[in-house]
Amino acid sequence: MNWNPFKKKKEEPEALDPLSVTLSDLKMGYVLDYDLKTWQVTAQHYYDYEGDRVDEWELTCGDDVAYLERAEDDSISWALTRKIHLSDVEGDIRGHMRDHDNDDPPDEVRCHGIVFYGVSSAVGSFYKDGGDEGQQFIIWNYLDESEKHTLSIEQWDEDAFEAAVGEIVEEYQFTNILPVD
Amino acid sequence: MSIFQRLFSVGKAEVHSAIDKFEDPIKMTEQGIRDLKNDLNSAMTSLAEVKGQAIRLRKQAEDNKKASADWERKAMVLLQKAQSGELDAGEADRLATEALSRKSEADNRISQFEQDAEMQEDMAAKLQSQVEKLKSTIATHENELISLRARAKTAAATKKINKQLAKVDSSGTIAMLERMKERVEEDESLSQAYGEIAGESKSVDEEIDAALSTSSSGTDQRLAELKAKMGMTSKD
Repeated sequence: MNWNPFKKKKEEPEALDPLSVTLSDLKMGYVLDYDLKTWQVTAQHYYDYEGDRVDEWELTCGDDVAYLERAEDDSISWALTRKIHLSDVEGDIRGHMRDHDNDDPPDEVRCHGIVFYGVSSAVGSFYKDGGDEGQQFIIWNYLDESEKHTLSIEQWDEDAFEAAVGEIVEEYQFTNILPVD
Repeated sequence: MSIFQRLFSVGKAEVHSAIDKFEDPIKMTEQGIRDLKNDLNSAMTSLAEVKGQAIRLRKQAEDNKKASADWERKAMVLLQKAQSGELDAGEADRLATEALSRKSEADNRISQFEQDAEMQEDMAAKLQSQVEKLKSTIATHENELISLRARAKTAAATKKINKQLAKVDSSGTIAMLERMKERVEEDESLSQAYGEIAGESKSVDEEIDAALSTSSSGTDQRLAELKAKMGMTSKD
């Protein structure tokens, strides 16, 4: 007989309070407003930097695709980035890395007319769609003088590079977060 | 109104009154807010779906715009190749016509997607206003609930105090003390009355004797006799 009166009832997940949905609650399909545009979450990934987790949501608005990143240290910080071609970064980054023993890109780079200064580098793992298998990569992070604009250079393979530029954003800039079932 | 109707009305009133007693205004308000939040959740989900659909349609329109431009560019390249003699003119015309036909198909899709996106955006605007209205209603009720809770707390405390006060009065201590006081006052009045009656009940003979009697003469004589016995002379 399968019936067991003492069996603990399976706990139902707590219903999301529609009035207190925050940016950290974002999931696939959620819709939100930023910079006078409506965006939809079209993917959700995360990075692991030696135990430090960074969440990333892919936001799509028509043709525009941006990546919202959430990092938690002493406080939560947010950045919104867009992918660019490595060639958008002035100078021969690949050549510089090849010619130098430490394989690092330059400490100072220029992109879209802004000068960026290297602030950190790390080895991380990327978990696409929150999957179990991570893909290793190296990242170099840059900030401009105002510390508002970001630039990152990522190396995924010996000759596979990616780059992104963005800006530090605040949670209040994102409004009208709409959940989906 | 027939007797049955009246009986039914009375019964209904009694049932309502009984149910009213069971109703806890705070719990009912909390449940109402929960129900409203469920409605809001559904409305927000629908709004997200509609907005998401509009975003997808806009993207499809953009993709088709790119495709349209691409087909036009291809048709131009074909004609240029024909012009430069790289391609047979007839073949170039045929292929360019085909490319332009594809461009036209893409253009048709653009207008369809844009029209659909606009429709979804209109719907989203209507839903958005409903969501805002629901949000504001919930916020109002939540604020009311806070004051309702405070008022209920005060009312409960006041009720308790009043009940306690009522209990003390009905225990009879105060009433008993009042009764005792009344009885003492009654006794005092009675004794005073008796006193007055006693004072008024002297006979005429007694009054005459009292007036004639020399109550102190006997005493004076005994004092004089004692003084004589002791060899003392009286000053009188």
